[in-house]
Amino acid sequence: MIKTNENKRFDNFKNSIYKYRWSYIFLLPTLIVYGMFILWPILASVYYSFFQWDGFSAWPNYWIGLRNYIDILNDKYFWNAFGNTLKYVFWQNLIKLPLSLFIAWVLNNPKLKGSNFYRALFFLPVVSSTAIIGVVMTFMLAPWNGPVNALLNTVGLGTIDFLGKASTALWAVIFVEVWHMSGQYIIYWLAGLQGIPSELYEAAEVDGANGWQTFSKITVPALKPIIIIVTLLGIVNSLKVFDIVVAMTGGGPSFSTEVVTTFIYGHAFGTSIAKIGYASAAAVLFGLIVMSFGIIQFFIVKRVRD
Amino acid sequence: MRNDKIRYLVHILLITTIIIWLFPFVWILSTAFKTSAQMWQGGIDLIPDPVILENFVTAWNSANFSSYFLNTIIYAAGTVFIAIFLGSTSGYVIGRFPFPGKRLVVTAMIATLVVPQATTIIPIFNLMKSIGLLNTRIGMILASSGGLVVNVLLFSGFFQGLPSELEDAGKIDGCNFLQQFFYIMFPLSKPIIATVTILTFINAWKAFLIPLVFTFDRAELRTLGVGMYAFVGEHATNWTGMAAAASISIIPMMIVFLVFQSYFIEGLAGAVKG
Repeated sequence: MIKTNENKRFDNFKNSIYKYRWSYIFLLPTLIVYGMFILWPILASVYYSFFQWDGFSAWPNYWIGLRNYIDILNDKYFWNAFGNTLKYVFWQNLIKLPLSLFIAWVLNNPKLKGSNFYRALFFLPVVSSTAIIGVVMTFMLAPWNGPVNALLNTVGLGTIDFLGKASTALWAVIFVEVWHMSGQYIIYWLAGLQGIPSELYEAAEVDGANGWQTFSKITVPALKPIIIIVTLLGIVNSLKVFDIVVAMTGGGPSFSTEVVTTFIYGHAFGTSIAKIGYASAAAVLFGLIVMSFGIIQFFIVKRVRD
Repeated sequence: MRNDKIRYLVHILLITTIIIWLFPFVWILSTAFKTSAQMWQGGIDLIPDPVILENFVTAWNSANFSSYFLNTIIYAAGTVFIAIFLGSTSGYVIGRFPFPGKRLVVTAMIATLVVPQATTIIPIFNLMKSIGLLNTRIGMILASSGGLVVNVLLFSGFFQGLPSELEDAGKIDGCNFLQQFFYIMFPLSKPIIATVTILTFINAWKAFLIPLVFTFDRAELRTLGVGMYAFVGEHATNWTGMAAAASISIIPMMIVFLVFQSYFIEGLAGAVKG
């Protein structure tokens, strides 16, 4: 009896696989690419992280257990990179998010003519590749009377070597990325603002509320779920900062702009004797940090939408 | 009366902000037409005097930006092709068929959505090296398709929203699965194809890490971003040439964006509206 039941279940299973054979055929190419370039690299990074490996042999073979992790947690250069990343993420978002929200709020006024035109212009920096923005900005901020310093000199503030000094380099990178990415966040905020029913604004107008009152009493509370979503998007995106640092400072001067991604890159690709295991351990730790924000994002977004 | 004044004031403020906002681009474009001597005088002078085209010739020919430009187009086009192929096929079956294991596939994809490239780049590099695809165009394109999950979700969301009568009609006409997809479903997904194309194209144009590690030993395969980075390393003093190279890299993408902006903005806004 039992045996026939099991056979039946197996037959059912076989039938449904057969029934959906085309689904599996259509899914297969995606699964192969997903396996090769997402799933396998994640597993391999974890595996590599338990080895001491210079990358010359085809496969790691000197198992050292948790040694890499212990070393990283005692590596002051890692903590420096970690601290810089946090500082970058914190300030970049703290400036970028309110600034882009304010611009979006101005552009969202239905009576404003040409708001799509302004939106497109604010967005232009976003489509330019970060590596090239980095070079352009190095040029803009150049101490030999580049335009920014020319302006500072004209108003009598003297020359500042923004990228040459450890105290200003990270700030320069932060401000460049605020400018570079704000357009994208203006689009996010506009999408959110357009979801606020216009009756709310009309009611505020009847009550004689001024612009700021409308913004703080109507717009911001109605936008709360969107604020959470966009803030988390901003955090996750900015944690991954890499291109701009490589293009503008290469992590210098004296490690003042080194971030976790450049730390990983440096150990894996940037030296003659690579420390693949060590870089992988840093990569795993970094992946866990970014993913934990991603998980928070996922659940909050789900709660907000349900 | 008062409202009109405020309206003009808002426009004046917006235009002023835009001028400052876009100043770096205007300045880099004007520098590209300047002589080196004028550039070294520095300052915020925007008018090239005399106007020269030499910098563009240098960047395009001797600094190889013509081949970087072509490489970037090939790389971006290849990435777009793979994104559409994978996104539409798997998005179609995920969006419309309750096959066993679907939940697992979707959950795995969403769970790894935010995994940063810095975490995966070392094994990707090793994998491509061991199968001989490092320092090749095809390897670079394949390695970039790790961002496929977003496309799969965009396509599956679209297909899920189509009425089920479509398949019934196809069945009556005697369409098999492939015909159903290629003649009916795929053409219907034009709006998503457009969105995925423009998002993927711009992202590929901006990509840096993958093209960087895939061209360590093949300088002739460099894309614009990597070429620019290398150019700075090799010709650190030729700032006007750099300005021309930067203009060559930036301006085409701006035009593409301005022409197709509605697709791009819809694709982006989807991240918030869901």
